[in-house]
Amino acid sequence: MSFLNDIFTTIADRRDYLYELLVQHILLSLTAIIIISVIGISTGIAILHDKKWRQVILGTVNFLYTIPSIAMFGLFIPLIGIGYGNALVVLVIYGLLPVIRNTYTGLDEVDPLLLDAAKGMGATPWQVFSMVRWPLAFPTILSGFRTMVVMTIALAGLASFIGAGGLGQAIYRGINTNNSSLILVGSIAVALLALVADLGIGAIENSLKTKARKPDKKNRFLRYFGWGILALLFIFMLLPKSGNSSRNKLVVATKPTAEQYILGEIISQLVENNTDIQVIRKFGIGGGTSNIHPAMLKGEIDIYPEYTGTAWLFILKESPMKNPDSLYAALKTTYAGQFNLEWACRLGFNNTFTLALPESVAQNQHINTFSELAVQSNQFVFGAEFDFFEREDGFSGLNKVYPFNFKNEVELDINLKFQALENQTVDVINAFSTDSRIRQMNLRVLKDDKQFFPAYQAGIVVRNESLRKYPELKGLFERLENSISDSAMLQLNYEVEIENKSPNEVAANFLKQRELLK
Amino acid sequence: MNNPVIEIVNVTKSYESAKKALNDVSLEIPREAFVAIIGPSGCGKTTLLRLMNGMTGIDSGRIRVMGKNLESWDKIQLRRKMGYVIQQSGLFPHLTVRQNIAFVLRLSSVEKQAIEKRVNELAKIMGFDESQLNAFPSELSGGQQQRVGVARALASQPEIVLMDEPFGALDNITRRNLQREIKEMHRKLKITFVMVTHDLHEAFTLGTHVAIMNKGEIVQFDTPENIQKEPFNDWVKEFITI
Repeated sequence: MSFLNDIFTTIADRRDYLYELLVQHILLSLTAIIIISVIGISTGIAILHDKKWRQVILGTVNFLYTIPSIAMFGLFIPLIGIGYGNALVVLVIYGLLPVIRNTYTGLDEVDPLLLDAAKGMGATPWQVFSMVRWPLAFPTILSGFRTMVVMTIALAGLASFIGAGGLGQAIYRGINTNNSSLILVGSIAVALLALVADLGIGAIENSLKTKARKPDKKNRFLRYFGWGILALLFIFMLLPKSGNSSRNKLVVATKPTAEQYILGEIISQLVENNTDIQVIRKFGIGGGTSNIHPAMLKGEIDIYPEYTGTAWLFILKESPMKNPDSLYAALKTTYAGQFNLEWACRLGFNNTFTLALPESVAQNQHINTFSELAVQSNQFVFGAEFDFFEREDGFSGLNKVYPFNFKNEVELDINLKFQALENQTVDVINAFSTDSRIRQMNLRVLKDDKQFFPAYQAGIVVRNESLRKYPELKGLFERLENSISDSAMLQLNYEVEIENKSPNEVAANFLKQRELLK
Repeated sequence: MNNPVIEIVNVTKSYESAKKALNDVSLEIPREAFVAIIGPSGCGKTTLLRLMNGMTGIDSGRIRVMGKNLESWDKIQLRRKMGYVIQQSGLFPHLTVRQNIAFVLRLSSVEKQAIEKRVNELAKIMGFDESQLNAFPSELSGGQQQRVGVARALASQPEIVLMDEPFGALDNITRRNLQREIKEMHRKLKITFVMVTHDLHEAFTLGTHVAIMNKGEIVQFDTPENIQKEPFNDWVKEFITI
């Protein structure tokens, strides 16, 4: 029952958020549905009498349909960028097949005898089409439309992956912040929406079928019910989007991790509270840096939290640099020169690789640093995920700097690492320094005293153009400089991932505590 | 036979398959006649019928319908002036009986009230009651469906009704009844009927004139009595005695 309770609490607590996502979802789906219907039906009609084009077009949409949807979303990022437009294009491409195919099939399968009869009675070509061919094909076309609608609503759930919002965002955010009731609420909402649309069209379909028998009350009810639901959905689309239009806008994006959601909220709320700029949140962009960075360059995103190590190694593809301060300085210069992007501040914490072991053990054996661990390492079993053993900057490199001599080394799935530690299958694991499970399991994070792992200090990257447009931002972000220590970030992550608070609430509390809100 | 309502002169028609469907066919259909066209399958009888309302074009020759050359007719207007009944009735399954009968009138945007009046007239003639008018074709028997098909063809008060094996799919008893009915209607309405059939008995009982076709040509065209009395050749003699 507590599970149900969680769900209701989630809905109650995040009513506004969920409502916003619902509206986004309906908007995106409905726009796609309208475009698909127009293109799909007219294409279906156009290919009716043209065998060559028919083969080309049906072949093409069939092929497009077989491309996995996630891949399709990714495929268009370099062309269209992230967000609503991309999602719309992908939804339209997927939705075309059932509509084109059913339109064509429906029209084609009309008994030629009936068309001949109509023509023979003096119907013009348009009358033959509109009075005979189309109405007879309509049930088939409608069933293709129905398939498309359900599919589009479901697929729109993936749109959040590329920052287009919608109910998928709740699911995605739930996954990334370990919040199962949010996942469930998002999923149920998508399913319900699809179900309602399906019922609505199904009711119309049924009324058409029974019409061939006798028009009766039940049938009329079904039809009104169906049109009613569709009309409701349509009204939704016409609802004015809250506070949109010409206000100053700033797009804040994050990668899909709990920590990033929290940082995103901190940045957004800070801006919203201290300026009159409207913040658009595109949180949890799939693919993280590899999709956000290009979008920053294109100007689709204005701000996002990034880690120095990621920028240095992954984006600039430079070789590791020991000193975190000189790394930051180099990064700042290169970003400004090469990308016209500004590192506005460093937040203070360093989310890098580290080694962790239970606090009690660490205390007993007096282990605080990697070097101290190395001395006693023959008493311990070490566990890490497969690729940590594989990577040059992982275990083998680490071993060259610190002479570890573990009793045993165990390769584990990344998600089972902490469980293995709890079961005492392993004694020491590698971990990220701000992982909330470190606090949950009361682990001690050891100090990398010879600085083997590169620094992954969190900072805020802003487009220079945005800074010029809103000069007040610079001072604002400077106030965040060094405001979050490793342990503070760990605490914030803990509140979201383990205590299931929303990133929104956690960020607000943080800002209040630091007196960063007006 | 002065002033024929349909006049076909030296018409030749071949399809893409290169086989000649009609070879130098001439035929004069007198006003108010009931012409039955009969012949073995593939003899070109349906093609001949479809020439008359421009559903099929011709390669050479000349056709006059209702005093006007076929080329100078607006085909759409011409067809609306001619009834058209096809095999298996050709009723529209998505329309009620009433809507089916009104179809031709709706094509030429006749006023709603006028349509209703005409449909009710026809319903009276054919003996359809209200529940039958509101039924869909699939709810009627085959014979009733074909009667609706005939009513539909008569809706626009045509001078000519073309029928392509209208009773082909019906059982014998229903067919005899419908034949009687259509004969009576021809007598009362004083319009021209042209009917393609493969049923000798039907052709000879209904037709005031019978056209016997073979291999794209009209072998003999005359009254049933004359044909029976004097078959044009041995082939006709054999054909009509089968």
